[in-house]
Amino acid sequence: MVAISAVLAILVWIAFSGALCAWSPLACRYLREAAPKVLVNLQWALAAIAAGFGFGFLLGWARVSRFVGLRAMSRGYTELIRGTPLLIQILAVFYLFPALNRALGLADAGADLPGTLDGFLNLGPSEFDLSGAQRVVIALILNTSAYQAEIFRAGFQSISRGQIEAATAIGMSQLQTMRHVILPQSLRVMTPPLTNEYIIMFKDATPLAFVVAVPELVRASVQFGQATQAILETYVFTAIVFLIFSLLLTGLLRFLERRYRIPGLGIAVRGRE
Amino acid sequence: MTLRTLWARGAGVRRLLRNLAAAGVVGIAAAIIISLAFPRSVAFWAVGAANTFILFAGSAALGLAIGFLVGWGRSAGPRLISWPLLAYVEGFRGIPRIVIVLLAVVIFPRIGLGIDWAVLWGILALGVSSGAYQAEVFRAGFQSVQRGQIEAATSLGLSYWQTMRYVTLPQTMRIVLPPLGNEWIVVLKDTSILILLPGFAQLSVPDVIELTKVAQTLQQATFDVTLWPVIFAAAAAVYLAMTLLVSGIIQYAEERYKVPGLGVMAA
Amino acid sequence: MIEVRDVHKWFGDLHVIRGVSFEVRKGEVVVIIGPSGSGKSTLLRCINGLVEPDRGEVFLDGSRVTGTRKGIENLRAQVGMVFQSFNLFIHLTALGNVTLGLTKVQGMPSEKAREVGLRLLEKVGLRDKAASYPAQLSGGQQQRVAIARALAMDPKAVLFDEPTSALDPELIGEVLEVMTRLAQEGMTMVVVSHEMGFVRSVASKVLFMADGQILEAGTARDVFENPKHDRIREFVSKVLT
Repeated sequence: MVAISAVLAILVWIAFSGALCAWSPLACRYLREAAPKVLVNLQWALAAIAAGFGFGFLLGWARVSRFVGLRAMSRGYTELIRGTPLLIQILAVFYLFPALNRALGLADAGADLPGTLDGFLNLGPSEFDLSGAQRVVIALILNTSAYQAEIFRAGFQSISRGQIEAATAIGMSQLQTMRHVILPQSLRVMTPPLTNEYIIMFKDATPLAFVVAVPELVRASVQFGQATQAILETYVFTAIVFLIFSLLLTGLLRFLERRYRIPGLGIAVRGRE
Repeated sequence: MTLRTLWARGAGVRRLLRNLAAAGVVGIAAAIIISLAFPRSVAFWAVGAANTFILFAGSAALGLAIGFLVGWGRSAGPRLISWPLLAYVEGFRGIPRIVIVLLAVVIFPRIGLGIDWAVLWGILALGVSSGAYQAEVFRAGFQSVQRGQIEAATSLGLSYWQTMRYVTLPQTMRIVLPPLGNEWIVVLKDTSILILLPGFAQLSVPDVIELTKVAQTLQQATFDVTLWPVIFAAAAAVYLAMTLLVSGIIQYAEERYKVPGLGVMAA
Repeated sequence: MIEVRDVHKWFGDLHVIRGVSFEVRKGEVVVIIGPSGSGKSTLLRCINGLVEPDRGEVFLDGSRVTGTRKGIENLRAQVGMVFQSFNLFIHLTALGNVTLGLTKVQGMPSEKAREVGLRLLEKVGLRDKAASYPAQLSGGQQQRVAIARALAMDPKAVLFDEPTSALDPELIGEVLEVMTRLAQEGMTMVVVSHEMGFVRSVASKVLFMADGQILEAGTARDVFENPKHDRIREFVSKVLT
């Protein structure tokens, strides 16, 4: 993996030097015009994971709580999110806001909805107007929270009962036990599935924003393809960009995994794939 | 075969029945909402759901076949075979499915599969993509069968194929079913990406439509903005019913391959 | 019954077996002892064709084992093998383990195979565990099932590769007991073992193997009490304390 990452790094360097532009002007243009949008995807994934970490923690804690109600609510939420496609979730959140505005008697969110009737009707912005990107990120956060909740749950449950009993016996409260005993251990075994979740978020989740026409790499690529009429080549470039970043991120993940792993300890999470 | 006797059959059956019940409840709720709020679209929803299921079944099956062969080739094959296979696996796992579908939409017409074949495009795109993930699962499964088991089988006089059939494969099945089941559910949900396929454009029943496209098309035709979340909630409910059904079946199958005394294999 | 003639084996540059020859007559119990890494396990596997020697030949009851591709399975079915790590099929019950070879290799109908299987499990004292899975059995029980499985093929000889080395001390006895009874019934056995008590009481012939060669062959008494090589003297004294 280290070797592959090195090769990729070299590839990226070559790409940014003049060599690529001489060989294929189309690729060069793509690199300058469309490819930088990959940063949007990376940022969205990061924002979603970060916020999802907090929510995931709370949901995961609720899942293992003593109270049946909390457990049920957490379980219901995660089952719902995990049982429905992310695209539907994005669409639902995206089109929730106009409905919210209308229901609250505010003017509809207008400008960010191309391809729908509202784009043609003369509706102005309102107080509740969240940009397309913001709505997408919200949907991503809701989504990743459910999956991270599972990761947290597995992490919490991997701590043996005995340690929790011991902590209680010393007189620690639930909160203290969580803070000083459970979390420190859980976080270390949770690093691999969490970084894996980030990669999945970046690679599989963010591209879906294309369907709601919010600017990110796939949308930029499609526009580029239509502008240059070199659709196939453009899609291939898009695939390559994603592939490079996936491999780089995976390489980073393996490296982190090896550094922070506790030998003999790990959790098996019913993941996305 | 009453409900009571089924209930007594074991944990796997119970879970399946629970999932079936939940799926039924959710599905019926969705049906009620749709027929009340959007009565004229009921037929399209039905076709959409059916098509989603067909696309799912085809893609998952294709992915299974590819995954099995590639996983086997990777675990047991000579380097000449396993390196190209590695490229396939790492390549398709690193490319977003939506990009693969876009590529399919561009490539297939050029090689002679016209718009009439849109369903096949979808199945091929998802199937080949899923095959890469399933291949990894199979590879791990094959490699985790201990060498000693193979040695013992060989020393009893079992041939290569007999060993494969009576020793390696049954043990592999036990190990691969949970992660494979996961991936199949992912494929079911990823059929929503096929919204990008053309030939799904007109809202007329003979055309192939999948569920998400039905929802989106309906949303675009609905002036009442407050109904939009309802549409997607209904779509979510239909998907949920389907995933509950499929995962119930998968968990039942997992149960049948469990070996008493051995713990649950890490997914 | 078994003839090993000048067998050599290399693993890469490592000359693991350097010209080993010996004979096992029908009904004999030959035990191979020696330090680890001396090639004993590999030698055993040359006898039933699991490992192909680079030079030399192995004969089983007159039939050539080395260099045979077709029909090797037939030959393997005539020699049973019991492994150090049991290698029971984890997805089959004890009975299933014993009958797999009968039904799939010998083509026996399953009812008959069941009968034979139960009889053999009875013989090793585990008839009541017929429906248990290996994960539910103790080490000693698993090894006894493994012996029953090997015996099911009605072999001409049985090979044992350190059958008790992976067992807890208190479980060793039950396995040795089965092996001793087997020897007394006249089964031809080639055993690699460290259990000196067993070796003394049951072995017809002891071979001391070190560095890929057989340094000495003789009765247990000869090898233990009057070894010709100091190496053996050392080994024996260490193992017997």
